[in-house]
Amino acid sequence: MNFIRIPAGHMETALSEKGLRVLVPSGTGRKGGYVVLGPDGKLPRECGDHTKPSSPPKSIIFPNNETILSYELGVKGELAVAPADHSMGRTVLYGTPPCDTASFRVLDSALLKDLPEPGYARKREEFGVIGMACSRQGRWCLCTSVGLGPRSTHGADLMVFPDGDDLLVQKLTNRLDDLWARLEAGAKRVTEAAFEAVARRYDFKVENFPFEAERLVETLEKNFDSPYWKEFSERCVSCGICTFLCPTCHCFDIVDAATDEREGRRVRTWDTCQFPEFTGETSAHNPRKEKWSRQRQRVLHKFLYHFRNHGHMMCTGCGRCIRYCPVDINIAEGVMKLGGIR
Amino acid sequence: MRDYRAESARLREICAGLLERGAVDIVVAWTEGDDPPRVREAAIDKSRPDLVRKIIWSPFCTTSTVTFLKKNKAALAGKKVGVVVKDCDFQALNVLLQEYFLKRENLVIIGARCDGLAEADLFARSQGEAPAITSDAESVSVGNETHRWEEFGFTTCITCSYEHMKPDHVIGEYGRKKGKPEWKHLSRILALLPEERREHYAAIFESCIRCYACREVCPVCACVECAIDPGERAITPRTPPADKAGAPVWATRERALSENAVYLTTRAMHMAGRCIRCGWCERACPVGLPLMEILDLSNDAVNRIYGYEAGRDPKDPPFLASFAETDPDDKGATQ
Repeated sequence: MNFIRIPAGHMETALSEKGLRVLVPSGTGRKGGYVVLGPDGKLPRECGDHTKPSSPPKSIIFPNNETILSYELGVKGELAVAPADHSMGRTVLYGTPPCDTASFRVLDSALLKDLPEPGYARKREEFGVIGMACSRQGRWCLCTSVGLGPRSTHGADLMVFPDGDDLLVQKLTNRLDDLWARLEAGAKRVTEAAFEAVARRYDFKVENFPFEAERLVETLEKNFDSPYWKEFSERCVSCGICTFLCPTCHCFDIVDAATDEREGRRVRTWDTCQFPEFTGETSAHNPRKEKWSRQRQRVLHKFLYHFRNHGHMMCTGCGRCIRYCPVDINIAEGVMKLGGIR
Repeated sequence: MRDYRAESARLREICAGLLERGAVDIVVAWTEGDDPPRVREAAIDKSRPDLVRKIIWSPFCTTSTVTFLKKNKAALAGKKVGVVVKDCDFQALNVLLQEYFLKRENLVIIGARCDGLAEADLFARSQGEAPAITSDAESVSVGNETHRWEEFGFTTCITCSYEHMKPDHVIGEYGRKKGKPEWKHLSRILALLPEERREHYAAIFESCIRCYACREVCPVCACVECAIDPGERAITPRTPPADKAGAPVWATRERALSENAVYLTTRAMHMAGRCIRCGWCERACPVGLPLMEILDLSNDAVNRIYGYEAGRDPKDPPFLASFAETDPDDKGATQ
């Protein structure tokens, strides 16, 4: 049986296990973040656009700055190279809205399939996500346009549906079995029908941007050479906000950071297709010198290429890139225009 | 009471006239976008009467048309450009004119007298026909919704003292008394002991995600190649080592305290006498860093010690290229 009803306090007790790090959304907007829950911290009781911090949760297992290895030159000139330990200890993310929860499905498909990225893969082993159904949309939300919604469970290991003072918990994977066993002990089992009666309340439609991304894929592809890309990106300033704040963007760069002439670190950092030098080649040739071609890459990666490769949209509809863009570039508007429905 | 619908209508008239007469090839202006009351910049030529009809001026013009000029320099080269500016954009133009980044004869400047900026996202999204946007000394209204100037938290607007705009065309009258530059917020930092100050700044620097939005939106951050970027030089097998080494890396991409500090302090130092306190970097910062606090340390020094106001007049010499025998020495500058 995969559905239980527990008093909200029960979740707090179950998560207060020694050695388990719990991260929760704290604050909102620019002043918010996913932070470690302190000993007296309270778990969030609801979630929605109003509890969504500007920083996405990807940084927990895909940090902006990650040491891959460190090196040191010995006194006799011998080189010692030590690969970094990517372990971060058991960590649970609690109370993420479905858009942020679904970001881990996207990141997994990009960073675990085929050729797993070692740092990400190691952290992912120790990491679980307890998603929460969303109770309030914001004005830039577009989850229902990208095949998700306020109650979608993609990316979640457990999913929580607040119901008054209780929580309905749905088990989706075996990743958090220990925790599930603790939650299940003494909990009321719930039939699927009773669960559905609660979950249905979260089934509202987000209608800021009336389109279904999957229906537009073909048209987007045909519009690869559309003149609209120039209009779309005319006011772009080529900063990294849309991609760094995106919960699913995962491009990175690798740099060597020398402490001095004898030792240093090899570091992986976020990189973005919006920086002109992202595609800079050694010859000084740059295939994406123009900002419209960089914006095209961002939009089509989200709504075409990733979908073709993995069968789901890379955009999870959180709306951060629209909300925080300093010049009001709106990816949903662009997709609708290029998809031929506006 | 200012009525921005009426002022926008006047602005559209001016812009349409300039385009029709051929006085300009392109107008760079704010236009109504898909998410009102947010606005967005656009370059509009004669072939786009639909965009001319969308030209708007309101306190929600929080972006800079001068940044747009800077970012589209290649596309606008050789063209006569009409540019709509508010007071701080005019100051930014002055800085770029002083530094020969722009040529005055290529510009027709349409100035909108500004009473301060307002946060569009604090207001409900306007639906249907554009509602009236008005302001008075106390507040800004969109339709029936009103917010006080203080609510937007745009301190650079509240303390803005600039009223020396000399554009070719002007719209609007000031409806609010101009402020005074204020440095009170700095006294708390200046009073800190060196170690405390280090801690204070370390916390800011460590939170930087290096998206470079502060640099990219800045209307006067105009270097073609930034010292922080790797640059655009070809490396071939025949490139001599000296040439490879000739492109120094001042800060690597590592998001470490040291590198972030080099980026943010380099920018702050480079802004000395150039920062016009438009505050867009701070508004744009996605992680809410108090960037004006860093910039104001040099703004304060430039203003208090040398009595210089960045971008006051296009004829002023650039701050770092000017010298007077009466300038205080560096002891004065460090006090």
